Amino acid sequence: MARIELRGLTKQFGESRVVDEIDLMIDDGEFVVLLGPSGCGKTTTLRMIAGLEPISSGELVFDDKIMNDEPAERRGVGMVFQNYALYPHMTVAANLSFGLASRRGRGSRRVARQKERARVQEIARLLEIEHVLDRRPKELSGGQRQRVALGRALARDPDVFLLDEPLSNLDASLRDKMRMELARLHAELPITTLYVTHDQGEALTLADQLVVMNGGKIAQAGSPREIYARPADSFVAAFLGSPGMNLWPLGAGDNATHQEGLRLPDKIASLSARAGRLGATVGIRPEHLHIAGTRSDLVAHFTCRVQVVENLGSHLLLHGAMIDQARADVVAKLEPQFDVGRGDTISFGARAEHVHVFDAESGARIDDAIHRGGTPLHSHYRRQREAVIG
Amino acid sequence: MSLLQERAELAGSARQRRERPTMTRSAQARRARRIRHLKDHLVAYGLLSPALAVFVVFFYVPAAYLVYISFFHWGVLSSSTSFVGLENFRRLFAQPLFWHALATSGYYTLVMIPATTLLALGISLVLKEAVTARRGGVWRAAVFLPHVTPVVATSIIWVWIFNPQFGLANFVLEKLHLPALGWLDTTQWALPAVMIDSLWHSLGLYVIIFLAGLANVPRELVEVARLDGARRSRIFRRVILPLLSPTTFFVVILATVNSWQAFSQIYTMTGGPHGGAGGPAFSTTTDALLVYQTAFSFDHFSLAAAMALVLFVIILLLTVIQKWISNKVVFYR
Ligand SMILES: Nc1ncnc2c1ncn2[C@@H]1O[C@H](COP(=O)(O)OP(=O)(O)OP(=O)(O)O)[C@@H](O)[C@H]1O
Ligand SMILES: [Mg+2]
Repeated sequence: MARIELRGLTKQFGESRVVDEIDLMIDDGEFVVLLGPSGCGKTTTLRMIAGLEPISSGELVFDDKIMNDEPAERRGVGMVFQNYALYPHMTVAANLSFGLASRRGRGSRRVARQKERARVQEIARLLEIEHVLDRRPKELSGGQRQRVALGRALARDPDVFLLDEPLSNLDASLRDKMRMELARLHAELPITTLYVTHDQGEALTLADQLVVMNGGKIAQAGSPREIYARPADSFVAAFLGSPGMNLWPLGAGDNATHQEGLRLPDKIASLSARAGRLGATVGIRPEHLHIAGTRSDLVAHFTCRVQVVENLGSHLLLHGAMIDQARADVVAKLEPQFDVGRGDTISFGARAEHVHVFDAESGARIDDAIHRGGTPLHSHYRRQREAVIG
Repeated sequence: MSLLQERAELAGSARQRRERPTMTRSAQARRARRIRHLKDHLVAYGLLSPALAVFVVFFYVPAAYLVYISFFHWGVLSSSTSFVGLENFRRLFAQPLFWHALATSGYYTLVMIPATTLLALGISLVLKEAVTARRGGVWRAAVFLPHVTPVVATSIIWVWIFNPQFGLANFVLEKLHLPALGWLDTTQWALPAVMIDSLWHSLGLYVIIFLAGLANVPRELVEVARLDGARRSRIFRRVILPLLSPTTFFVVILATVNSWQAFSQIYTMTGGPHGGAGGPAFSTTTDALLVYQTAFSFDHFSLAAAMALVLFVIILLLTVIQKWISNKVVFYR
């Protein structure tokens, strides 16, 4: 078990900063999900924590011990790779016990073997792979391989559990099943877990703490619910949710309070005065758009012409553009029984608390005070460091 | 035949059945398949024929002819060719020099296989680290270079290196405070001198093969083993070596065949065109050399043919045995 702290963790490959001063605090037993677009530095972060990649600068702390120079084998980390990386020439049982045997101390070999066998049995039972212990990885299904990889990482009873897109090689239904199994596993064995994915479904269901990364930086960290409800910037707003948030520009300068075709209440429109040079961006999630007149508390009205309607069973996905403002694309989620077709015009509204305002230049949220980078630790650490370094 | 073709054929025969109900479906299908098979084969052999022709004319025919003349009394210039049955083989097996040459070849091969394999593996492991470095390519080229030099030319240089009076080899030994050796002039050290030349010349190839094999060992497996707490030696023994075993096996086979067939460097270093090759006192007379001398120095082609045939059988047997062993120790992914 371990508490993990990343303090200004940075990875530099030549000139490019792939991971850029990440601050993060992970509680003992917490399940943290790193979410972000491809190439944003998730794997690199994980590899630095595992000790497979040297840290360029910053500190990695397990409990109160700085781990920067601790070799990988002594960090007590179990890792599951995206492609599982099972030893292809060993049986499942040997795969599971390899790590145990590697750490055999002095003493009777026979006793050690017995202990290892017992542990392998225990892990196999936990992951329901007892019947394949004698097989080679080649002879396993994708889901079974996945379990063996999990089991191998768990067998040594790691303090920290790192998973790099562990479900991305599975088909959709198996992925859903394994996702639930992972949740169950974490409930049974509450090991501090860092889980990398670019699947939002996984991120939102599994995470105690969700960390959204973008371009080597943490865009936002917090509970999934919090991040979904109050994205810290327009990147997180557009990245999270499927489809992501509608984002429309509010003009700059004198025009700052006015978006052609979109009527905002003064309270929201006036926020844009706080925005910088390029003005503000208004955002509303597709599921928060309601047909005008269906509720009494709707504000932010606009009219849109429908271009495409997708029927997804549980709901309709409507794609269109605002009338008078062809550049403002609209996506809305509607009840499946709603009768609408191409070319129709529909008036929408949204509730005030569902309207988000961001700075168009920096992307930062401007409708309330939030700490970018999420956890209080971040700002605390910043302050502390500034106090010391200046 | 592809599944697609098969399906198309079934569909086709179903259509035909509807049109001509008298013909059974399976007979139709079978005939169609046979015709298509024939066409496929004709096209395939047509495309293969140029390469096949070269192989037949320059490889299989001479090889078959070699087997043929080993049962005859035959000379390049003599007009009389007479069938002698197993006479050539009887004389061969009664000849002590032949057995001596076999033993010499065996000795040479037995040293060369482990020396080649271990050295090449060692060098490739060192170079693998260097591959990612900036000058990795230069090192690889440097190691591979000897292999592309002409054997005869470089062997002449090695003759100079092993010169007992003013050669480089003895100079180095002297600097290391070791006794100087007679090298090519002594029965004891002549063959080891040739071995050193052969190793120098062939290692580059094997190193490149091993490097390719090492590149195929997934990086994640080594990393996972590290996280599993395995030390370097354990990772090497339990992860890298098993995954490298097909490459190792290939190198061993190649080294075996090349060692049994070694000729140019032995011939050049121990006498060359001046005569005396295989000396001193037959200490470097390997099977391959004896075949050459029997044929071209002693003009006894049919005896040489019989000898070559025996050599062929030995190499074949060795390869079969190695294959059999490899099935137990080599892991194919
Ligand atoms: N060894 C390396 N040398 C140079 N650049 C690297 C190296 N490893 C990764 N990078 C770069 O670092 C960036 C982040 O890589 P990383 O693998 O961490 O991304 P990721 O978030 O895991 O992406 P994905 O979701 O595609 O796995 C990428 O732009 C990549 O090109
Ligand atoms: Mg990755």
